Amino acid sequence: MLTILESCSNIPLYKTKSENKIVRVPVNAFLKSKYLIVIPLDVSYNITVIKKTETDFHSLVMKCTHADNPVQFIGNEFKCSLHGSIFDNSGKVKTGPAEKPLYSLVTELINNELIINLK
Amino acid sequence: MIFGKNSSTSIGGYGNYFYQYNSNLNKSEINLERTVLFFGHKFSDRFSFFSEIEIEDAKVSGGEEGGEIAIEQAYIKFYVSRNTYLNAGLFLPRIGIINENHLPNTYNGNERPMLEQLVIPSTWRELGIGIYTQLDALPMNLSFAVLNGLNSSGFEHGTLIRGGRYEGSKASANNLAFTGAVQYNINKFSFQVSGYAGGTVGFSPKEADSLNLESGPLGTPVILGEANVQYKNKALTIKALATTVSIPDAKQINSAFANNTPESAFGYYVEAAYDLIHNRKSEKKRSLLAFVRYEKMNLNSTIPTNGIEDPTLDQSHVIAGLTYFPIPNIAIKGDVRLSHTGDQNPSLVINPDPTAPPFENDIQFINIGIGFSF
Ligand code: FES
Repeated sequence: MLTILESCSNIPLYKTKSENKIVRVPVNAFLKSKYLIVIPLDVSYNITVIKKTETDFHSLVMKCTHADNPVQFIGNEFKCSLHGSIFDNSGKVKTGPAEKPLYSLVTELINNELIINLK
Repeated sequence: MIFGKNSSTSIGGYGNYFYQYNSNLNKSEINLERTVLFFGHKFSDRFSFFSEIEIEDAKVSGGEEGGEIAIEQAYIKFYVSRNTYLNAGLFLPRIGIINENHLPNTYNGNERPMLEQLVIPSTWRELGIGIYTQLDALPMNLSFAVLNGLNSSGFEHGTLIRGGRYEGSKASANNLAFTGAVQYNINKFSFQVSGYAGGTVGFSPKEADSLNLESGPLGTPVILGEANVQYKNKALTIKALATTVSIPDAKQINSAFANNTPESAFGYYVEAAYDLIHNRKSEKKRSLLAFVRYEKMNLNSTIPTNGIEDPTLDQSHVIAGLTYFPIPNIAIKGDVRLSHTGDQNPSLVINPDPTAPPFENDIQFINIGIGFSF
C-alpha cells in the first residue's frame, strides 16, 4: 500500500490504495485540519473525510450526484463545475441541479486507524 | 454503484419563465425564455459525453422573429489523469462567471448580468479543444483552450462582439482563438482571471486583402480580459467582476463591414446577496435571498476615427430583488432593474419609428419569473 502525506495550503491530501474495497487512513492525518481529502489511486473519485469529534468521522464521495462529475471542496462546500451544483460540508444540496446529497461511506475508527468502506 | 466502471446515461435540464414590464414602452411581456435538455453519457471513468439542447422563446416558426433551437454544448470529456481532463467539441470556455454556470438557480435576478450578456457574450460556446487541470499542491485550477475565432462581419452596433460568435455552426477555422483561466480558491474567497485573444477574419488571404483586413489565425484580433472574485460566508455572498475588450483594428472592420465597431469596451459589476432565512432551524432547504447588483459598462469607450459614438451604450444598471428557493432546484424571482444610459446621438437615429415613445435616459423594468433545473 502506498501512503504519501502531502500538504497543500488549504486541506491536507492523503494518497493511498484500497484493499478489498477498504481504505485505511491513520488518524494522525488529521493533526492539521478537521478535513482530509483521501485519494484512493485505484478508484475514480476522491473522498473527503470530516472529523466531527475525536471518534466520529464522516466520509463523502467527491462525485456529483447530478451527472457523476467530480466535485471540488472549496471554502467549506463542495462545488461541481459542470452545471453548478453546490453541496454543504455535510453533503446536502444547497444549489441544484443536483437533487440527492453526496454519497457517504461507512467509516469506523479502529486502533487509531480509519477504516473507510467503499462498498 | 458509487465506484465502478459501469457506463451510465444522464438526463437533466433547466428553463425559465419571465414576465417583464418596460416603463419606457409602457408594455409588458411574458415569455418561456429558455427550455434546455441535458444529455450526458459516461462511457468509462475516462470518457464522457455532455450536451445541452436549448429552445429559446418556446417555439421557432418559419420566417417569424424570435425563437431559436441550438446545441449549446456537445463535447467529449477525456480524463488524461486524475486531476486533468480534455474537452473536445462544442463547449463553453471559462470566461467570467455565467458562461460556465448559467443555470437560472445559480444567479440572482431574472436576467443574467447585463455585462455577461453584452461585454462577455454568454453563453459563448465555440468548437475546439481545452485542457483543465486542478493542482494538488495549491488550491488552484487552470484551463486553456484553442477554439475557432469570431466573425467580425457579424459584429453589430450595440452588441459588441456578440453577433460574431459562430456557436458551432460552420465556423471559420482559418482564424483561431486562445483562451485561458486561472482560479484560486482560498477559504471563503474564489479568485479568477481569464483572457481571450482571437482572430476575427475567416476569409482567404486574397479576400481579406481586398477588404484591407488582416487574415490568419490571429488576424484583426479581439482581446478580452476578465477578473472576478466571489466571497461566501454563511448567509452573505459577494461577487465582483470586471472586464475589458479591445479591438485594435476596429477601423478596418468598419471600413469593410460598416458595422460601427468600437476600439474598446469595458464593464464591471458588484453584487451582494443575503439569505434572510438561513438561521431558521426548520428552513433546511429553503432560502430567500435579498440581493442588489450594480453594473456599469461602456460598449464604445473608445471608437476609431470612422466610428460614430453612441452615448446610449454608456450604461449603468441597478438591479435589486428577491430570489426564493422553496427547494434548491426551483427559484422564484422578483426584481426591479433601473437602467440609465447616455443621450441618443441624432446621427444614429435613422428613419425613426413614428409610433416609438420618446427617448428616455432612465428606464425601469419590473421582472418576475421562475427558473428550474434538474
Ligand atoms: S454533474 Fe454536477 S451539476 Fe451536473
